[in-house]
Amino acid sequence: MGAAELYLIGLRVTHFIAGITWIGLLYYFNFVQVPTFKELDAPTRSILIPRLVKRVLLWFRWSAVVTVVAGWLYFFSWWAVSGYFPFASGKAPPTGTWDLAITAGGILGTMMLVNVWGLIWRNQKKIIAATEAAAKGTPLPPEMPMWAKQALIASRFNTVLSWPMLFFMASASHLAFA
Amino acid sequence: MAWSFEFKSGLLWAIVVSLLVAVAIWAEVATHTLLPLLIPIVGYIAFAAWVARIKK
Repeated sequence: MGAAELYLIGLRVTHFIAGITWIGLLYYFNFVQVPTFKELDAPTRSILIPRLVKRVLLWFRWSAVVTVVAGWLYFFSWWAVSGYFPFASGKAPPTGTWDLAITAGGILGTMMLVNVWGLIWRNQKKIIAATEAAAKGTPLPPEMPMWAKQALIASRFNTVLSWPMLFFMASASHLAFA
Repeated sequence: MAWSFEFKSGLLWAIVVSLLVAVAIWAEVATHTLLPLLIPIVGYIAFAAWVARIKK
């Protein structure tokens, strides 16, 4: 096995493991944590948010980065191996099943990554900071429900978007539709 | 997941963006360029802008 093959296998395995971590934590948030937190009182939530939620979000947002970076590195490396260099060769992009399905899945996954950092984490870090400040006596800011709502919509969007994303990703190797 | 405003709006936007991705892939094959892939990106920007406007 050559160095190029080892490099591609390494990227692929990294992509899988980070992706399972990311989507697993996304489903944990949506199917377990959000409904459970609705049943808890404010003092209990204020204990869990700076500890449990902060830790989950750390793994969540960085596994998202690793998943998408490894995925696009694999994709462009594979195109390079196949002799296609977008924006440089002037050739038409490859339109086989693998290329089209991975492109679709990659676009959806990248949108989900932007959501993680741009909407979910951006709002959640404000909620965590406000909760930590509240534990020291600072009153909760009036914007807190707005932050929670924006983060939750983005999280619901990501959950639903993960279904076509996973369909296209799996289709690349397991469904001949082109 | 409860049938809440957050879930309904997330579901609706996810369907719209997924359809735009399907259109973009079809257009990529039809035009032999990568340019149509910008279509779902515009759709996603519309979603992000809509979420950012939610105030309460």
